[in-house]
Amino acid sequence: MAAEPPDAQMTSASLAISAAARLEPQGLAADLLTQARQRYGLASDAFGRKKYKDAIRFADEARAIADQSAARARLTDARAEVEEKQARNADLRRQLQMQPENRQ
Amino acid sequence: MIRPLRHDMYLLQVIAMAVGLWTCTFAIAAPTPDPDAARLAASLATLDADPTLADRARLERFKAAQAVATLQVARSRDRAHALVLAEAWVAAAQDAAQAEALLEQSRQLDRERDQIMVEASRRDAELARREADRLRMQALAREEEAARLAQQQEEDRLAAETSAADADAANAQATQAMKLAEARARETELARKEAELIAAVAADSAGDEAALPPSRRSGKRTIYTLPGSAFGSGSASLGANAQSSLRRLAAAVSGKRSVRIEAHTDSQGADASNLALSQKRADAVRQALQGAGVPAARLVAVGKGETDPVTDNASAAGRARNRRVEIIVE
Repeated sequence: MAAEPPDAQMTSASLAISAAARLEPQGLAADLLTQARQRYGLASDAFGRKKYKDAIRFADEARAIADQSAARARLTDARAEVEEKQARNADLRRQLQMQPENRQ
Repeated sequence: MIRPLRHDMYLLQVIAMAVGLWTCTFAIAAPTPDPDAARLAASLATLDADPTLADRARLERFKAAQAVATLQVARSRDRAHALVLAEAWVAAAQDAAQAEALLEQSRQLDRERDQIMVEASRRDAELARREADRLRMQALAREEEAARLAQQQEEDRLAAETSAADADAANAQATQAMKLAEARARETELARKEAELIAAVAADSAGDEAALPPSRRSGKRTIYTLPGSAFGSGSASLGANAQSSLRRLAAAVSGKRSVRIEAHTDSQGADASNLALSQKRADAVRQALQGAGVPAARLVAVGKGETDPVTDNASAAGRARNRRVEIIVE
């Protein structure tokens, strides 16, 4: 019995890669996105050769690695955002401390 | 920018129950633990033990647990694939949990920022209020100073006006005093002139009354007698009254043919000096009559000295009567 084409897995992997790409990942996240795209390429090749089991394997790996890339990108963004806000708040506190009311 | 994560708790609970049953089944069948699966399971356990991350990234954590369970029961030909998935999902779960925690921290920082801004606004408002108070006090001080200066200027102006008025009054008083002095001087002058006029009038009146010296008839002759007082003592100068009398006499004798003037002295002094004095007095009377219009040809002046007294020279009264000038008119 011939296997069904893994359209759902391919679509899911493609959407995950696109979502990760929209995050414009840097560093490790960017490397992971590259890996995901490579896996997706392998999945597409296998899909084209109708080796659907291999296509499913590569598509699932592409999706997982793409999600990992997205998670890392979000983490990187969150860290940067927190650092920025910490610096901002510290600057605001300094400005507040420098107001005439607080000067000695 | 952190993208919001989807949570479907109901779906997670159902999947978790299914995965749990599925994992238990394969654990019984494959009792030998996979070292990578153990390592990854330990990572998930660590994640669960972290109180700051325990309840975060549940979807990713569920997928990671599922992948680890699959890895543990994976056949050899599927193990590499299962390991890739498990590694990826565990890492994604860790990163997602930390990202959620950071997202919460970010929101907390936003709230903190808001509090700082509120505090800054409150302080700005307080500073603005203080500045407004300060400016209001300055304005009040300036107004008070301006009022004080205005009052001072008004007082100075009034003082200046008073001084000017005093000066004017002093000047006016001085002027008035000067005018008064001038008036008094004029008054004095006028009084003096009036007195002189009165004196002159009195003299004239006296002259009028004594216009003609005392006279007596002696035959066809009229003899007028000027007393010795008509002259100064030892002098031949006629007094004012005597001159006035002689002017009247000149008018009275204008139609007469002869006027003889005889001057007499008392016996005091030397005869020669008395004679000379009597002659000078006779000449003075002659000049007065001539000056008053009596032709010189009709006038004869003779000084007789002490030779023809009318009474005794022993007494002052007698001597006074003897000092005389007789004008004999025919």
